[in-house]
Amino acid sequence: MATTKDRSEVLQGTLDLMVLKTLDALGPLHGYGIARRLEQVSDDRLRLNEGTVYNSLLRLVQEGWISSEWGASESNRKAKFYSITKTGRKQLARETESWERISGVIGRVLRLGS
Amino acid sequence: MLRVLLSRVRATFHRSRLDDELDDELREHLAMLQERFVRAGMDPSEAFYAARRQFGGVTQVKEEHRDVRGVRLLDDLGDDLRYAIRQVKRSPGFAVLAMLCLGLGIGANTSIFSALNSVLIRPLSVADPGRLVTLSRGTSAYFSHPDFQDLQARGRLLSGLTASFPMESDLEVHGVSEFVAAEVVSANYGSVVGVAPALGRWFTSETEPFAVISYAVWQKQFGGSADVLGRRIGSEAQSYTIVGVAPRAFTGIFAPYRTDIWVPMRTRPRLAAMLDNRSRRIVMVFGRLRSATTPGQASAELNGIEAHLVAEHGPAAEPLPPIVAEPVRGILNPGGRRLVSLSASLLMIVVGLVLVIACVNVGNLLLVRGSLRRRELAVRQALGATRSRLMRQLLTESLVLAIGGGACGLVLAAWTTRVFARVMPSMRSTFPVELDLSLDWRVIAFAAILSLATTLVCGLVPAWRGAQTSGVAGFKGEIGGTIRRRRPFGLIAQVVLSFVLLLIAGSVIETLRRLEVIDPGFAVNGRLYAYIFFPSATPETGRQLYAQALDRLRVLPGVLSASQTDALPLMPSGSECASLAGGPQLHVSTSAIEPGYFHTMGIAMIAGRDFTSIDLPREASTIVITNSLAKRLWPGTSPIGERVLIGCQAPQASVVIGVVRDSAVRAVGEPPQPRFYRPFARQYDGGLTAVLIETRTDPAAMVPEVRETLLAMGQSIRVYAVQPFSTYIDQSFTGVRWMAMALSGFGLLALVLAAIGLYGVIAYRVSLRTQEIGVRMALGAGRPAIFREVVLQGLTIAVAGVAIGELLAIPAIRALASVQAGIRPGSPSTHVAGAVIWVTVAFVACYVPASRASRVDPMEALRHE
Repeated sequence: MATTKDRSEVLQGTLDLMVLKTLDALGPLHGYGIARRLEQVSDDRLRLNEGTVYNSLLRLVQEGWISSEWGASESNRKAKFYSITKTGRKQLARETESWERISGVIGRVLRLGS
Repeated sequence: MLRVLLSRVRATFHRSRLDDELDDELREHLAMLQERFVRAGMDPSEAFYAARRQFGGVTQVKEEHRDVRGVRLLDDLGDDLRYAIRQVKRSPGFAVLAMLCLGLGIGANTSIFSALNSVLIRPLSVADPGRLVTLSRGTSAYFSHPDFQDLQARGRLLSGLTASFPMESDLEVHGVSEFVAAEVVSANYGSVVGVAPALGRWFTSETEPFAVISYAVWQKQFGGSADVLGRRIGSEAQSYTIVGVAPRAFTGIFAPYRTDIWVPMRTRPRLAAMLDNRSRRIVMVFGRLRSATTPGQASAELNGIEAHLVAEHGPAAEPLPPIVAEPVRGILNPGGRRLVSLSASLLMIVVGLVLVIACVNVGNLLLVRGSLRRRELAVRQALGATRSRLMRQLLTESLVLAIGGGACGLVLAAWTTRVFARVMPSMRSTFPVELDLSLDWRVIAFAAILSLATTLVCGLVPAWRGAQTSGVAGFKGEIGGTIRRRRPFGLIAQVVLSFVLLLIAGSVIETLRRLEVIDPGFAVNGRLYAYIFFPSATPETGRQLYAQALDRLRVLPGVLSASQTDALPLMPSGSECASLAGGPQLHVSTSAIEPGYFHTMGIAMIAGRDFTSIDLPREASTIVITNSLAKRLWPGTSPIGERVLIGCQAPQASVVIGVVRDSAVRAVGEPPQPRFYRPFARQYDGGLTAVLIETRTDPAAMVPEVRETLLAMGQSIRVYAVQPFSTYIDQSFTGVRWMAMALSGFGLLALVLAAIGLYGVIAYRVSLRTQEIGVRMALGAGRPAIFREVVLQGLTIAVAGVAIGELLAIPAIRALASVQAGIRPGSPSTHVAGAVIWVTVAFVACYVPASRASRVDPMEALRHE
């Protein structure tokens, strides 16, 4: 059983970016679905409190990058579905680009040190 | 960013619904997780906990969610407001006192601002007021009619240009005449200024005798009836047909005086004679900008046209400043604007000072309260409130007080402006005054901004100090040594400000007193005057009729002498150029008088003689000059028999036959103004004149008899304003009198506010020192000693404030003198009186706390320990 220590701290902005990318890739999803997807793609290497996904979703809604709608889940439960908006897609493109640039820089800096 | 803020603000209003939704969402999520673990083979209870572990703290998520969602500050603000209102309710005495102080300050400011607003800021009630411009040249707003016509014909950037000749005239309705303000205007006046008549239409011809009357005349003289159109009225020698009624909100370019009649430009023979003279600058010009044109562009174009005019007609006698087109706001008449804006801005400064005093008061009260609440603040700090949180809380309390104060202020302002509107008609000097002082959104916004500003001004320091409370000291109930040691700068500043206001009010009152007793150079008492006019007379028959009128008056029992002039003192009169051969031209005022005028007016003859019948024929060229003009032209020698050139364009030689004492020309108390007199019989060319009567007894008692005598002449004579000359002179002090009233009112207000402040702080200090006083009394200090000490504390502050105020008052009054002529720093006795008043007030303010201190029971005080 994983303890909190094992889990890598997920930076707030990074989580937002991952959630946005997930919605972009898979279309409308509920919070549970997003959590499953993140778990799946990270091969369990990234463990997060699933609840934080909801804070991320709220921030994205407030920015207008995603929208939400009530609907029924696969198991016919009531669930809120989130989908990416047009401005969200633009933001995703911008963020992805800057992420790649920054992570490239950080990577080089870290390699330099070793 | 804005979107985030908006969604947050929205969220605070849907708090409970959003909370429920989040609950649902999280519950479903947990249920699905649990199901998943059950499918993976866990038993249900194990799965329940596993799901929760994986999800993390539900409550934390919800908390964080709420933080992200709602503006934390807004939530807090709501809490703070509720808390602050509870606090305020808990000490109603303090709250009422603070709100009253702020209310008086804000109310005074709002009232004056509403006057400023109506005169200078509020757009005129005309169509599209932003595009209406007024033309001026330097300080003058007058143009010659030919120049106006050229500008009108050649200008392209203005969609219309119109001229108005404002004049004092008469209005005769149903055989009763009144003296009114009139405008003689171009036919396009209504459309260019943008005034749609309330009834009927504007005239369209410059020569046909049609008139538009004011709303007030329509209501008063015609009972507001719709068949007023087509009725006939008289004005000067003309009979006019009413074609329209001006809307109520438009009172013409004389505002704040009300214009009562508008007539076409060429229906006044006397005016028409001057209209084609390019050197007579007599009309005011207004224009309407085309869309997308700025006033600057229009000015540039007009100056370009003028350059062409100069090339065609030659330059004017003296160089003229360039033409400036400016948008019109408030009232139209530049003279009226200057007058009202000067006194209103002055009063604005005064009431600003009153508000500062009120703020310092409330600030002091808040500080006092803050130190009484140290324990409470310490508890809140111990429970986890940060300093900034405490400060916000304390500021919110001052906000609540300021909002209460602002509301009080608005109520007060609504009341004072209503009172003012009611007494304004009594300000009536020659024409009725009409000023719209209603509270519009600008005034309300002003009061709101003032309230917020006062929140910061009086709340910031106390809030900062309150937040600095150290937890331990607060719990121990230690009372702030800091406050006791604090130097009473706030109090001294209050005393200084209110003392300066007191001195200013004193000096204005003194000025008024001086003006009332000053010798204007002519007799004021025992004289009666009347304006008379013969509408159907030519200049020749007019002269004879006036002579007859004077003869009839002279034989009345009780009349000592009677005479006549074309311009009473203090009325605008003609001006001419006077020069010695080869010397520079002096601009001097002139008036036409009947022989015997100097005697009737009590103006002393210094040298030479008065006019007699030999001076009356047209070909005579004799004049009488004032002493100051004699000294200017012939310093050191006698002017009698000397020649002087009169006239600006083609000067004619005149002979000086007499020198009279200087007397007031434009205002009582002004420095001597050079003037010369010519005989009425030689100068009169039609129009209104004033007769002056020296009476044996009380002039007021002779008013009916004089009126009857004049009316009995027939000839459709018009008689206006028969009243004692002293009343007329007294009316010229109206401006100073109002200023004296307003200043003493505000000075008194400042005095009361500062006294409350002094009382509050001294009383608080006594309450802090109860124990100390108790100990000292137990050790043998006498009650009188304690009493003396407390009173001395207050008096020291008052004396320091008075001393500093004394230093500041002189420059302040000098600044005031530049606004209102004739005001001089008060006499030593005014200063002494001001100081005595303040020290007395300070003593009274300290008396109650001091006697309370001297009655402290040592046992009682020590038991508190």
